[in-house]
Amino acid sequence: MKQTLSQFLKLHLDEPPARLYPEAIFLLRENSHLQRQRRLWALWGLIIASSAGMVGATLYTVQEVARSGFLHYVALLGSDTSTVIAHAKDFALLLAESAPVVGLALFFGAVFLLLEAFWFLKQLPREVALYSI
Amino acid sequence: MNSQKFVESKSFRRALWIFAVLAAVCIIFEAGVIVGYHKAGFSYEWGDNYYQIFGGNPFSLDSDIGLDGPTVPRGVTGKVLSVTPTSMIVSGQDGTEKLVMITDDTLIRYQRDDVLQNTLMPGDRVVVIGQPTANGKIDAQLIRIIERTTHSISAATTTTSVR
Repeated sequence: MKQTLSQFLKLHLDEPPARLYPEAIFLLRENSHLQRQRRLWALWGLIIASSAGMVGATLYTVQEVARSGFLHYVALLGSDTSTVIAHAKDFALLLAESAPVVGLALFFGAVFLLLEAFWFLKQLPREVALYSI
Repeated sequence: MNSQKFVESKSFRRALWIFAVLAAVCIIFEAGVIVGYHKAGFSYEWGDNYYQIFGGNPFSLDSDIGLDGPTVPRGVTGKVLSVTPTSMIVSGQDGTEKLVMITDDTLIRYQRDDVLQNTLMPGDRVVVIGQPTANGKIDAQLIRIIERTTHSISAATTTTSVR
């Protein structure tokens, strides 16, 4: 069987061209370089989007705080401590109900995305970043 | 693998973290359900009784009561619109008007002093903490006056308590 296969290969397969391996390796490197570059652009897009999202989330949070009066309630902790302690359960629920949860969630989400994007950017080889610039 | 090795293993620590995160998620979810229930319940009662309390025509085409979402049931901060001996209407910063009931147990404070109910004036800015009632009102426990329209509080009105 082995004999037959080697005979078959000799008869039907040509020798690979001499430049096949260098070209294949070059193409593979080029492909991987392009992939890294695409990743780099995606990361920069994510950084810009999350920065804009952070600004938007901050503005939304400020608006939400102003609407709910959250800071006025928190200030009562300093000015009317004994009364607040006497009605601690109601006060805790009041803070929970008026907390700008949606704005804060959006803000923390944007910060998380921004930090993740920077972390992934740091993982990319230095020459990719320089090459693309 | 004996129990000592199992306790010290990475899998055990990972399992601990997973349980801790799951517990935290459940607690936060339950807190959200409780807060959401109270907010939605109060907002429903508030909307249901709005025209009985504040007047107006509920069948009018432009009958917008200014409620964009659930409103805070246990307090209000904003400007006093009107005052009676037992209640006041506060225009909240979220664009809603709330009826705040003033009882004998209500503490009214301005700066460092307890003040009488009759010192409350329309136009004053107040912060109220209280308990929501079944018909969309707030039974005030504390009314803190943060800004006055009239800056003269006579000495006679400054006492230790409303009671």
